[in-house]
Amino acid sequence: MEALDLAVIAEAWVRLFELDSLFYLVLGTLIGLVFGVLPGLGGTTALAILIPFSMNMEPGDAIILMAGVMGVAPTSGAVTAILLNTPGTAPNAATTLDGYPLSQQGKAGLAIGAAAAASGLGGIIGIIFLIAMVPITREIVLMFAPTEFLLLAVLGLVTVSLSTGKKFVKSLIVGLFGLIIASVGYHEVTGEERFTFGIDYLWDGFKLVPVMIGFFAVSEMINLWAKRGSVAGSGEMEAINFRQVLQGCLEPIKRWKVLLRGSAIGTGVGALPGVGGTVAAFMAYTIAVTTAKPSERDSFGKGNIVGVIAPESANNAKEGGALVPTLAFGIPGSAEMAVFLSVLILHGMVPGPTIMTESLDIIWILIAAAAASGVIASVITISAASSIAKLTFVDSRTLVPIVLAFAMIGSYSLDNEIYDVVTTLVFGFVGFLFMRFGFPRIAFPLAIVLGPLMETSYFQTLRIGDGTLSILFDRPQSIVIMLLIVACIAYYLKGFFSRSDSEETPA
Amino acid sequence: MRFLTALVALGLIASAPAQAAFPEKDITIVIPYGPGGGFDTLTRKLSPYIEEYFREKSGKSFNKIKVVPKNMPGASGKKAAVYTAKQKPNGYTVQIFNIPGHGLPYIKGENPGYDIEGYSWLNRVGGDSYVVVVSKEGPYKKLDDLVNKSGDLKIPEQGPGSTSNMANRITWSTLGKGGEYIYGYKSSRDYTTAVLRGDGDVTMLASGSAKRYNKGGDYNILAHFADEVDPAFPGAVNGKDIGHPELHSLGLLRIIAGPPGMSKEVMDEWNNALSYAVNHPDIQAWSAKTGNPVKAYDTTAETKKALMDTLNYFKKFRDVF
Repeated sequence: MEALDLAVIAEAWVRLFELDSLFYLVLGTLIGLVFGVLPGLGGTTALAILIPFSMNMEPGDAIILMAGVMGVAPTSGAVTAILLNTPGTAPNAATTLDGYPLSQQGKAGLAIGAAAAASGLGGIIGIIFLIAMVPITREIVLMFAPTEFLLLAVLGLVTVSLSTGKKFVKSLIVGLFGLIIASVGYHEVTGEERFTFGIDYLWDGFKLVPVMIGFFAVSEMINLWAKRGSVAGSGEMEAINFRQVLQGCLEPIKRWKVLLRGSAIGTGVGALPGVGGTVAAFMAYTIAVTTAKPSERDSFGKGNIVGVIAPESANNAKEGGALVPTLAFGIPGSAEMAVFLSVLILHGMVPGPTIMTESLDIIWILIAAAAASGVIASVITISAASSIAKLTFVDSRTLVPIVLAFAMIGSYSLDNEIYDVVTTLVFGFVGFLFMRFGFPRIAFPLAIVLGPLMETSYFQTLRIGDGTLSILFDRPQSIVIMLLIVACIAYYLKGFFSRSDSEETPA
Repeated sequence: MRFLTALVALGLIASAPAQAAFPEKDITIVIPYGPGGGFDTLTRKLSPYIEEYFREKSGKSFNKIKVVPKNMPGASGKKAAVYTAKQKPNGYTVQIFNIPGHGLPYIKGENPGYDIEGYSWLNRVGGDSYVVVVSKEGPYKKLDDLVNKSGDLKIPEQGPGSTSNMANRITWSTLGKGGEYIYGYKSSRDYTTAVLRGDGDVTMLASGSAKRYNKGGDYNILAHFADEVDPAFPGAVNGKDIGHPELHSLGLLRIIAGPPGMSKEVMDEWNNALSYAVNHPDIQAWSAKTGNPVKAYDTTAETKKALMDTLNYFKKFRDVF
């Protein structure tokens, strides 16, 4: 069977518009929407909960249901990121940086419109990328060895540090704190326990989701409680209307370069095994900041719409990218994909280079369903945004307890583990302190995700290269990434020296 | 006095319920790893059939009893094992175990907070043997080519203490060959791909995984440590061929067990349910299609023997871990 067999592709789309398929697609989309909006509960949780229900379903229907969930969660997760500074899913954390300030200015509708449109368009670009990659997935996965992962992790940390401008030193401190937190637990390579203090819970290290919920959601709630009032502060209720949302929808099209770049970063990062949407979103954000005109950089972190478009397009485009290694080698490109992989196996499909020949019909159904659910998600988010946006005007005395309750339930429901709730509270307080003393928080999530990847890849590169790092210079793909790192630093320095005015930074 | 006697008699009746049929409420099967892996997939695939057995046995078409798989990842499976050991031995909580993985502390003489010998061992639901995998494009065409390589073999792996790492260390020390381990790969799929990419020379896998990963014909399977070499691995040698039949003891077992002290009645009921599920034509068809080895055999005593044989075999090599 040819990978791009038009008959198979057409059949998949026809299948998608059958009544029962549409039912599962909408059902999946609605489930994903709810899980995406609730902080801490993302697509991964929704997929994991749905696995048992999908078992007795026909494989095509099961895939459509799952694709519905995967397509929508990152879109709806942006809603709470913008309105409450509480990322609905971990990758939406980058969207809080400019989305939330927009809310505070009473422009929540604009931000949500832009996020939904950027998500929908980004998702479609990601799917187009996936389609283009279908015939050459194998070559791509084989190109990336630990050497490249090491350099990609360095690239991620370099871009995030540079994006914080004059708060560079404070940003490094935050980054180092993230690296220390990431190093807690049993280390797979060395077989040593680090900073566990004999506590069993710490053996596996801090879990990403409870830490993120605390660092971004709880800290914000502490702050809001201290300030009193509502998220939007003195913003005018009238300012949020459907026109503002529609205006927001046009923003990604007006700024198509940002959209395309974000989507390209998303698909590229998504396609790398183990590097998830959080990295994609933050990388897209930081690259948007570093490549902005020096005069515009000041506005990032204070409500620049580009700071919403870049991460949201990357975040959704990464789904298409992440499917590449998942299908081609059964190596999940993200946490969602790890769960999705088990769905495929449960239904008798064997991820690997041969899935393209053995289950091509299912693959195309998956692609069609993912593309359709992204569009449905955007439409729902856009049409409901103005009413959801009213949440930002709810008084903190009402809002804080509700969000805290969701945050705690989300944190607990991951593994039914009370220590996860403790982790969330502790990191909530830490995040609040960072906010209070003007430390840019952005380096933290990236350090926590990239730290372990960088360390493991470093050890692996050393072993592969017989104890030296010289193989970094032997591989063309490594050299390309190294040049990218140098280019980022050079580009930033150029802007840095050409600026005479003072620099503010996103926090 | 008569009143007292009546009271005592009443108490006796109340405390000795008429042989209540097991099960009467929902059952939890603890999976010691996260969703998506081999243990998770197998447990979730078997659960509905275990449920079906209990439903049919009860004779009620609307039996509400559910068999619920519960992921409890943490500390390489240790967290779940400690949890299961602390549950009531009433059959409502059992766990799928990874042997030798869960036996590593026993093998090394450490105390992990549970006694591997103490659990109520039920039927084995899956078992597998190990194969030696190299890239088809690479320079190694026979097992001898690996043994004769100058210097140590480079072996991509998950990490120290993983079951495949134990298999690798035992195999290469038996064959008198040094290994340099490249740790940190996330899964068996990941480190097998690393061999294909050229990160290292060779690795070892469970035969079921090898079949799945090699559907595209990217790899050569040079050895299969089982009494009969699987026809899916043409050209592979086994331990007997190379004068080391003891390598056939390198096994991987997937066994269901409950907390220590389960009653014989409940254990028998469980074993019947597991045999029913494992032998179900749907499961066997799925097993054949995906290469997930699912085998029903062993009474409780045989399972325990297979378990201890495996652990004691690994124990002989504790110095190489």
